[in-house]
Amino acid sequence: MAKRKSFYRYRLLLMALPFMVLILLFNYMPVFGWIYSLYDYIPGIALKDCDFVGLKYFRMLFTDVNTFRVIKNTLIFAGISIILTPLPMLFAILLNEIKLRPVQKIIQIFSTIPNFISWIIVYSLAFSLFSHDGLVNAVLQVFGVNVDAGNTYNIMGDSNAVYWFQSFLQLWKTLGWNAIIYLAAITGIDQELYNAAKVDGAGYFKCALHITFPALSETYFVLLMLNIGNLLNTGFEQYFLFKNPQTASNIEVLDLYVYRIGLESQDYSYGVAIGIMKFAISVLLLTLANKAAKRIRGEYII
Amino acid sequence: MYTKKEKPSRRIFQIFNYILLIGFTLICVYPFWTMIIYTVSDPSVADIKAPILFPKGFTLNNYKEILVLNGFFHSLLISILRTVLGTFVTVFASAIMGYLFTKEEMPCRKVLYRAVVLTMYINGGLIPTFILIRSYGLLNNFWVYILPMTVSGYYIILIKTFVEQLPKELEEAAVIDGAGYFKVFTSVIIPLSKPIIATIAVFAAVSHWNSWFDNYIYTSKNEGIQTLQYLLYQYLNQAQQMADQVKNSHGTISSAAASISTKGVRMTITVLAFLPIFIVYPFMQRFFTKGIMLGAVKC
Amino acid sequence: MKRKMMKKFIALCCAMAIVVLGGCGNNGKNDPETGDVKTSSDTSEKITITVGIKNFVDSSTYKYWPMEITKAIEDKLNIELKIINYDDQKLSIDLTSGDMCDIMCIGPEYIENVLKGKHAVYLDDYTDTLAKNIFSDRFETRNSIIREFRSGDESNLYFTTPGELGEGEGEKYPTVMYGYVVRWDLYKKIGMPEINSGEDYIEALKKMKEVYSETEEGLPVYAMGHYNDSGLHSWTFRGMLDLGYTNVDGNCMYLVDVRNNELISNVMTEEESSPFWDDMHFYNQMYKEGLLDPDCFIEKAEDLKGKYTKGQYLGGINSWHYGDWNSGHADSDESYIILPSNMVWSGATSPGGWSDKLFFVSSHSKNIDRAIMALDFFNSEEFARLIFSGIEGQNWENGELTDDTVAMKSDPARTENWGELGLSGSYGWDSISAIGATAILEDGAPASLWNTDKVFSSSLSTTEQDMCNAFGLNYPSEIINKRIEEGKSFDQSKINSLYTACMESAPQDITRIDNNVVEIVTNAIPYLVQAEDESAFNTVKEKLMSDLKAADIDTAVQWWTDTYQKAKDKVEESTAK
Repeated sequence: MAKRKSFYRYRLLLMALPFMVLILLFNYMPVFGWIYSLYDYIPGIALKDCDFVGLKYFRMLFTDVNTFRVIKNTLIFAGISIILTPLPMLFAILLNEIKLRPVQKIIQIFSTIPNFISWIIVYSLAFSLFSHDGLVNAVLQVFGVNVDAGNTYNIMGDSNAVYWFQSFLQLWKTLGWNAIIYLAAITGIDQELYNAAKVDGAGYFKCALHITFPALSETYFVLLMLNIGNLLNTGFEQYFLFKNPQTASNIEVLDLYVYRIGLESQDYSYGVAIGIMKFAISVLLLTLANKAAKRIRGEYII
Repeated sequence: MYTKKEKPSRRIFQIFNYILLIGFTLICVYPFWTMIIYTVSDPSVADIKAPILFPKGFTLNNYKEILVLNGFFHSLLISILRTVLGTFVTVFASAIMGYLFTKEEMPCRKVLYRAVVLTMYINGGLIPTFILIRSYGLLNNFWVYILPMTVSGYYIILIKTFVEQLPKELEEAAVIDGAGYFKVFTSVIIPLSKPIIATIAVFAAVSHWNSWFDNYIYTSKNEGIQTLQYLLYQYLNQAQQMADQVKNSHGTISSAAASISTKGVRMTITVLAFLPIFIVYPFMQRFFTKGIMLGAVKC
Repeated sequence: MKRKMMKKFIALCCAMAIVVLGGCGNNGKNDPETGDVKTSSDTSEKITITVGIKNFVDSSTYKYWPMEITKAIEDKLNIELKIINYDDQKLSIDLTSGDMCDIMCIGPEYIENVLKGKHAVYLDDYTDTLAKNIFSDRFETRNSIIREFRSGDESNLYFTTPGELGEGEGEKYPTVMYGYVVRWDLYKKIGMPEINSGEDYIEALKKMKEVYSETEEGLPVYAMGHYNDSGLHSWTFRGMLDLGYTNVDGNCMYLVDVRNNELISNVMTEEESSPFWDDMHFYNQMYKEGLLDPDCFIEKAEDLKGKYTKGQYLGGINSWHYGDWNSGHADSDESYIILPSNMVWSGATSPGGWSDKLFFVSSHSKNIDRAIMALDFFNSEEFARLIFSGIEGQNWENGELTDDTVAMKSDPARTENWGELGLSGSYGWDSISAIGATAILEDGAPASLWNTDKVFSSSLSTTEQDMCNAFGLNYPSEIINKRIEEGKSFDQSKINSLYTACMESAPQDITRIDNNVVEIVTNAIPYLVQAEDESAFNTVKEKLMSDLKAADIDTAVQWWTDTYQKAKDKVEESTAK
């Protein structure tokens, strides 16, 4: 019996095989592209005809005076976004407390709208809202809040506000959408638990604290983990659009910097080298976080 | 709707909760509403003073321009086909993989699972990936929309996390009844995982519906499988090129060419992009409006 | 089990490595060195010819495609013509796969990719057969330039450029292209003071703001704003034009004096009276007077256009963004017009063509002969006349446009007809035609029949008419000639555009420094412009200069200086021959 069982379990592998093959073909095979970082690659010319430059591009990354600044910016943005990670979960819990079904459904759908508004439109909406002759300043003027005609304020040009302002925009854009996962997780909670708790006389807040929250925490920690691995991948579109001479030095994150030096000057190989560095850092962070989870919670998350 | 037992603190919380969530939803909806009214307003009026609550003048020109685009209905069909097929395949793959990774007896489980997780961080670069896709014979082929997106680390992780939390009793009962892994998967796991499956279906559908980059890089030379998003991307691009052309020609290009407003085009496309989610999401909501009743099944 | 998997995995890896390393499999198909090329001018079969151009309006989504002009081209060559829009990503991909358009247009930064990758057809094989126009006398200078400077280490001809204008064929426009932008009605209200310098202009803007301080909607009015999405351009090119320079890079950091063709390279770090510092003082002055839009560091081109449309600006630096305002005020005198500055944008020739657009026939094309015939047609006088002036007998006759055609352009009711006709005034054909608009063709008339005094003075807007009456002109740009005669302005006819056309394109190391410099300067501009007094300005200035030194600007400057000098010497040498 035991032997049959141990043979039988290879069926699990067999079932996974077709998908693992797909992963191999579409995710791991392209990793060969990493050798492009060792050449001075020029698109259109076969790699074997391009100059071999060894680790030049990796060295360049470390001697670049801007690297420190852009990594600092990236870490600040990532840090803020990690601080804000519980909010989608909180939103889902609160939404679950809306007992009027139609209202709940409508909030659920419409709070995802910002996710579908591209950053370039978010930018132009923000500009018309926050510009010196925009809506916000007009409203402030009406209420006479420390603003006279010659002294209007545009948050988009304030380099000190940039970290929180951009994080706020991101939160607005993703909150409703990211809450969906938690809504699904809430639905997955066994209703029996609530009924049992109610019989025991547990109030609403006790239920939330002892049933809902623990049930969601698993999902939360997994997502948190993925976020930590993603620390350096902030994306660049948002920052690219909101970058202006006044905010440039604080808003420039690694991805934006790579875009600026890579794409605009066609440094294909340099871009690949940075991609490799980012991957290495992601793996390192994931491993550390996983080890930490093992210490604290007694089990690995990944 | 409040029962007699309702405590005052709870009532205050409820009121506060309604205000908070409805307020946030309004902040989400209003910008979208301004876009809708802008796209149907007369641009010569709306550009001077943006409409705030209702459109100024009324015209459907922005939408008509898109409807008459060459190959609009064909690419709509391709997009629908891609979304339906792609979503189905992705959801199936993610569900089965997510389930498999919960089985501790699976050989090399940890290694394989970590290999899947790492795909989220690996990027081989545009050109090598292109060369590979070409060597697979997938250039200008419909399957290039489906296959690379089939297995997604993110969805697999979500499903695995969800399945791990399900009570083990039901599965054990099925195994005792002689069900194999696949049977357990279809008859126990899938029904219990409806909420997360619906969630992933929404995610996958949206990402399939919105993606144009694979069309652009791999299949742009096969007009027969052009997706709607790529068509819209080109249309938007054209408006931008037009604006640039006015600039490059030192302004000598006449105003007729310049009258296409990039802003109007972009907003129209955004409004259209939200439509599918508006159609699909309420349908999916059925699967997670009610909590599952495991207790009842157990008896 | 494990070992077997490992083996398989390694085998797969090796296979993939070969694929990746091999890269471009289509190489060497067409060896340019083989002498015996069989050509055929058989056009009996109707085929599709695709033309790929970066940042261009794609024919598949263009509303009016195929226009009457397109059809005339297609009938002539018995082809179906398609224009495909490219960007850098797409270009890299297609260069990798070799699967590109029949005819491609690239920037000089891709020459190495194309030549080393053997993607272009060697045109000299077709000198007497299919490419007679390309090798015609008109293009002798252009071709020798391309052989010398755009063919890598060889001296073969692979590329053609658009926009060639020979001696005496300098650019000409109906209106003033750059200079001091003013709202005409307001300018009249303040008594039309003469503007000869930046100070005069600021003075005039100040007075204009006094008579018009708020729009009808109650929005504040400013002298001008800026677009911050085109590098340094918005902040640096006013001074450049005003002081009489032209740029050799996109950010106006490396400038050539139009009067003597000398490169002044160190605009930021050394030259005290350089256009850059002139601009900074100009905008600083404007800021102190409270004339500058406080959003000017944040705006992008689209935001700027939005504010122009709302009537919030009195002046500006170019005509690109106020289009909507002027077309909305065509019947009144409230449009923007431009008054000429010291240097006027006129008279420039380009015997080498536009050096940033290089057309070649793809060696991977299935119809190389037909593609060469098409490219050759783009190099013909017939094509130039067709795309600038329209169809003979219908749009023009005996070297003159028909009245109907002239009327069509400015009639808002016939916008559709104008679009369907598809002249270069509505579609960017002029970036395809090898011959420029003001070139004189064999019949003695310019390629663009719009470029005659008669047409210039026949289709004026109300504001333009008003301006002409006020200054005693037949058409607005005549003011340029007047000022040149009075010695107040000079045009660009002394530029030798060959020098810049012949420069090598910058290597990556230099581009990287330049990009960094742009970033540093961009970030310093708000502090310079908003400096409250002279000493604050100088503090920022010194810091900027030392930052630039630290960013190794001297290496880049040295490179540009040397490269320009090298190009200049070579051109002198070859013209001496």
